[in-house]
Formats: sequence, structure tokens, C-alpha cells
Amino acid sequence: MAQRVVEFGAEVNLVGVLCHPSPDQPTAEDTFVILLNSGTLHRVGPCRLYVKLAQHLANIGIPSLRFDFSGIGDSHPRSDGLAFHDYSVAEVSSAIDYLSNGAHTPKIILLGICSGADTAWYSAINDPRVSAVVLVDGFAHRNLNFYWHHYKQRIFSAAVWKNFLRNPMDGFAFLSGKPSTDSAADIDRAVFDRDWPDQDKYSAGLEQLKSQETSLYYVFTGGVYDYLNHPEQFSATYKSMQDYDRLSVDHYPEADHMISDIDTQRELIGKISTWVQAI
Amino acid sequence: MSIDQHSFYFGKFGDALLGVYYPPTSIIPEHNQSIILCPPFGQEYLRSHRAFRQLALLLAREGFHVMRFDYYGTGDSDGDLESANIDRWIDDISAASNELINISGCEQQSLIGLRFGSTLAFLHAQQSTAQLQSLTLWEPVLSGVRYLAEFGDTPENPITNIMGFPVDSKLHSEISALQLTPTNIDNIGTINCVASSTNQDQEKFLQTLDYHASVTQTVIPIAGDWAKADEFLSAMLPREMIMSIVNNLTGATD
Repeated sequence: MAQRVVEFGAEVNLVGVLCHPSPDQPTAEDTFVILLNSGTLHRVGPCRLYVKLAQHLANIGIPSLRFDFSGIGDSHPRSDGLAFHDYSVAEVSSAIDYLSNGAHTPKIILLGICSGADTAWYSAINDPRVSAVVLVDGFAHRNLNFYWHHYKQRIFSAAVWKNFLRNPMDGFAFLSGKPSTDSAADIDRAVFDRDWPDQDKYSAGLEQLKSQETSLYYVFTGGVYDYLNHPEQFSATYKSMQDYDRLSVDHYPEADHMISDIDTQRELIGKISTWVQAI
Repeated sequence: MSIDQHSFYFGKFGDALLGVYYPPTSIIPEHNQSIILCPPFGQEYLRSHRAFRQLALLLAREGFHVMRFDYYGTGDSDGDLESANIDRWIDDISAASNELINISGCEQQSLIGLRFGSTLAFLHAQQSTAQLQSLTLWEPVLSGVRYLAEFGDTPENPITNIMGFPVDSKLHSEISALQLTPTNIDNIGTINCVASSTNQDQEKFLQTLDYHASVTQTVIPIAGDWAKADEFLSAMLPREMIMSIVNNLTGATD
């Protein structure tokens, strides 16, 4: 494995690290994984997950690029005053341009966590050169099953019943335990300014990705329990995707949003690498 | 390439470290020295990345040659934490120091360390024979045991994970054994301690240091806690502290 700093983009302000297999290692033909910033975290990713993943991918012959969007990490802010949503998608395309050799583009796989997953999704919609995306805690919408799982869990919760028996009035309120009236999307919008599409728009986007034959790997952690709480929720919500054989969904209900458990990190790195290899 | 920063890898293949050099953007002859920034570890490293970048840019604007870097197994550097250790990180500071002297031509050097980075910077200074202009201890960690206890470590239940970063038994023992002592520091010109609060241990440590070096202490209360990251996107940017560090090095007054 070897790492190298690169600078690219229209203003040559984007700083990234190319992580390559060693010269003596076999390299996957023509594939590149691009790792996208999560919120304002710089390119190493939450808990350094992007670096670990990049090293693992390089060791199995797959090169990657992790870079900072303008104004994040080591990349200088842009001079044109564009909003993040507009320029981040353009900068993913700049990264693809940089990795392309003239008219030839390698197989591009985008990976993002949280807001990085959002950018990966919009970029795959925007740029047909994207072959596959890995979305960790990306967009999803609640459905009836979500509410069923939410209330079922509370009904069978010992803590809820203990509280109910201690104080029936408070207990009723706790038992009902409505998911926050502000959806997770609303909360994230406030904190991280996630650009959350409505369900129709999102479904249309998924249809487009299906027609482009873009491979999709969704991973949801317990950190987004407020909008996704069981493994079948995604395919049940977006029914037209049920027969799409390029879609995989995994659920890690015990994992937190920053994937701080070391064993979960290892498992996830292994699963993502296997999935990427199979593309 | 950006004119005010240059990112690169240095060191041996397979063990390479990421460095970011900030050349001086103004000429101030009395500031013709080089400054190494020693980052903290784990989530604190992530949370302080922006603050370190700001500090580096401000110091470069004041005419200093500045370099940030990542220790082995941390940040963008090669390796993983499981194969890292304290001695290796202290050696990394030496390697970064030599690299910056080679780049800048400035042998006069200062170090700035934040949290566990200040511990490593202090240990490096104790082991080094080179003269240091100054050492800034930013929110210093004086005791490894107390540092680990901040993350829930107890003798009965030693931690193996500091908020998403693995700490194996070897690294855990090495950190536990750390206790900064004010000896072998005659090579340091000035020691500046900048902290959000003080306590008896810190006061006592600084008083003892005072016998050996010129010591200043600045206490600036800040919002937030480096050790507590409940949101993985929560960067800390304590501007007043950053300005205080810059002012200490330039001799400016607030």
C-alpha cells in the first residue's frame, strides 16, 4: 500500500489522498473508490474509518481517493460563493475527471457516511460515470412498518412497563413514545443541513439509478433509529426496488452513527470490501 | 498547488507520515523560526483538525514556518493504531522536526502540543538534545491514568476503545505509565501553558518547571470539552485560545 497527496479541481483547491496497492500487489482492473466527507469531518472519516477502509481496499488491489470538499479539512473555500449542495456534487465530478484518463473513466464507486452518503446519492444521479454507491446512514423514509416496530419495541420494553406501574399517567405518555415530531431528517437538516428529498422525489431518483444500472449498497446503523428501525424497511418503502438485483441493504441496529465499536468497524470494512470487489 | 500550504508524505515507505507545511506569508525577521504542531489522539484529533489548521495559517501569517503532521497509525499517516506505541510517536515528532528544519532551513524551533500531543511534545523535548525556543502545552495531559479515566477507564475495567479508536493492552499500559516530571528540560527556552481551567496538579507541575525554564500560564475558559464528542461532527475552534497561543509566540499582548 502506498499513499500520495493530490490536489485537483477547477481552482486546484481540493486536497486528497490517493491510496494505491503496492507495485508488487495485483491491482483490480480499472476501479476506483472515492470516499466523501461526512459533514465537516475531514477526509479521514469518522473514527478514521475511511483511512482503514482505504488501506484494506489497497491490500486487496483496489485504489481509492479520499478528499476534502472546499472549505472542509485541508481544502480552501471556493471563491464563487456556491452553496455546499451545488458545489459538492460538482466536486465529485471533478474528482472523477481527475481519475479519468482522457476519455476513459475507470469504474467509479462512491462511498459516504451520513451527509457523505447524501452527496454520493446526488452525485450518482447527476453523473452517469458513477457505477456504484455505498451509502452508510443515507436517506430513507418511514413507512407503516417503521411505526409498528417502534411501538412494538416499546410495548415489550420492561423499562416502559416499570415506569407505567410506578406512575400510570407518565407511563401512558412514555408508552406511546411517539417518534419525534421533527423527523430525523428535520433534526439532521438543522444540525448538518442534510438536503432531504421527499419520498416521491427520492423514489424517482432510485428509479433513475436502477435504469442506469447503478449498484447500491445501503448500510443503516442504530444511530438512525429515528427514521429506519428494521432491515426490511427500505425495500418495503421503495417497492419498485424489490426486484433490483444490484441493491443490497444491511442493518446494524447495535452500531452507533459514528460506528465507534471496533468489531463493527472491522466487519463493515470487510463487507464493503467484498461488495466492492464483486462490482 | 496552494501557495500557503503544501501537503506531502515523508519517512520510509510503509511507515510514511502525512505532513502539511505552511510557509511564512510575511517576512518578520525576529519570527524566523519553525514550529511543529503536535496533535492529540482519537476523537480529539478529529475535533481539533480545524483548530490546528487555523493556528498554522495564523502563525504562518506572522512569519513562522509551520508544520502539522499525523503520528504513525493516526490521521492520514500509514499504519494502524494496533501497531503504534508511545516511543514511535515521540520518534515521529523528531522526524517531523527534522523534516521541517530541512524544508525551512530554520534550526530554531518551537513545539505546540494539544492534550495528549502536549504530553508527547514534552517527552520529546526531555529526550532531545536540541535547543527548543519554546514549548506550548495546550490543555496538557500530565497523567496517563487520569487521561484514561476521562474515558471511563478504571483498574477493574480497563478500556480497549477510546470513542471509536482501539487501545490495545500494550498502548494502554504505556499511557497508564505516563506521568510528566519536570526534569531534563534545560534545553527549553520558554514553556507556555494554555488551558481552559487549572487544578492543583497543573499548578504544582508548572511551579516546579519554573525552576528550570521560563514558564507562563494562561487560563481561558472555553465552551465544550476536547474529550467528549457526542456528535462526530462537532469540531472545536476556541478562537481566544488560538489567538493567545499566537500572541505568546509573537510576543504580542492581547
